Amino acid sequence: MEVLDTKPERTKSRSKYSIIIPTYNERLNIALVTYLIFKHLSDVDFEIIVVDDGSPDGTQDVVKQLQKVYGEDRILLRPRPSKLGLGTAYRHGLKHASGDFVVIMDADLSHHPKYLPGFIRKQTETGASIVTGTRYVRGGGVHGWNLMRKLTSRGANVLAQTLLWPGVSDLTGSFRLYRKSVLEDVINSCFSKGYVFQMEMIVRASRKGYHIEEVPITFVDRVYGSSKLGGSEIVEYLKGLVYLLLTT
Amino acid sequence: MKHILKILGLLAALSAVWAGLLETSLIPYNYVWLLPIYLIVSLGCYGLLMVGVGLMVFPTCPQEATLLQKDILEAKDFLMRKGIDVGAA
Amino acid sequence: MELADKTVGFLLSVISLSIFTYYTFWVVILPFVDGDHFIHKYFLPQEYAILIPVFAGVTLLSLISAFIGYVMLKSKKKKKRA
Repeated sequence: MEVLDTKPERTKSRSKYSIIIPTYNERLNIALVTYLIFKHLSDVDFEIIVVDDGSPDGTQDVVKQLQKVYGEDRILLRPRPSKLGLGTAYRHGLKHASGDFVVIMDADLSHHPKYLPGFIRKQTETGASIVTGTRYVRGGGVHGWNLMRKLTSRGANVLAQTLLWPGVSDLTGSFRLYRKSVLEDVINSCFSKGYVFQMEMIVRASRKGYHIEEVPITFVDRVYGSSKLGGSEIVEYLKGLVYLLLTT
Repeated sequence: MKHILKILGLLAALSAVWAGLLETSLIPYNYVWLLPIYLIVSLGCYGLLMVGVGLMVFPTCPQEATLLQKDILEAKDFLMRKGIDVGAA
Repeated sequence: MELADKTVGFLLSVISLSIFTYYTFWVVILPFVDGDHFIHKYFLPQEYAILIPVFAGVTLLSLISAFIGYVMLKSKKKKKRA
């Protein structure tokens, strides 16, 4: 006799998620972030991959303590000897990722883990290859930005939108969920550094035709109040724009 | 196709239209000469408008800072109970 | 403080719309208006319709280039010292 499964198909994702967090001197923050991730993803299959660049403040010791509490299969520590850059940190973490999807986020709590279920839900509902957090739409937002910061951010955004037609509202954001195969493909075609790297990733993904969705996120800059934004950052940005304009 | 090619293509098409207008003299001469400058000025104004409007509707979330502080206290509490050293700043 | 930001945004929007309207009138509408209509008093002679944007554009480009040059020189000096 056939036994019909009458339970309604749950939209809960059965995929595994690898969360890559690059760290440098984030001794306290990594512990806070870990707690919050476990709190908000309580019924999700995930692993946290901490890529620490040889922090002198003992970040790795804290991670080891966290491993004792949460399990070494949930928290992977994959350190590197020194500061080697964000792009390579992601590549390094990716090598050790066993999930179907990869989340990249910052350790300093500017990216709040409470948005992770929203990212997962958006991906499950739309089947997107990439879900990126955006600070610039309703429902999202920033806190702690003064007029200059807002002005440069807005001006930079308008310039980038006019030149690149990227298809996303927040280009420099780094709170994103990728299908693992998509991240591997995109990351291997990106060559810039710093936050231009984040821009390059999303622009290249857009050019390659990947399905990208956005979710609003809030961004609280509590560590620096108002992030360091000097002349050299602006010039870096302009150079990055020209690079992206010509090579994507 | 690379993005820059799309933009160059667009510019080429616009230039062709502009040159065509010069030839056919449907519109008075001095008009047509002003057209590219007019377009650039309009583009600049549009950009400035976008920046201004964006600045006006820039979403902010002051309540998030307070929520974050609450989360941090909750996290610190839990971690201390589990014996994790959360001494540093 | 937030209100100040919104006000600046509003100001920028107003400025951009004013410039656009004035320029559109100047270049598109005015040529069709009779020479002795009173409205011509409010607009500068037509040559300026080209001169002012070109001058502004050149100035802007020079300022941006100077800024970029200055920042790059500063960073080169820093690298030498490091």
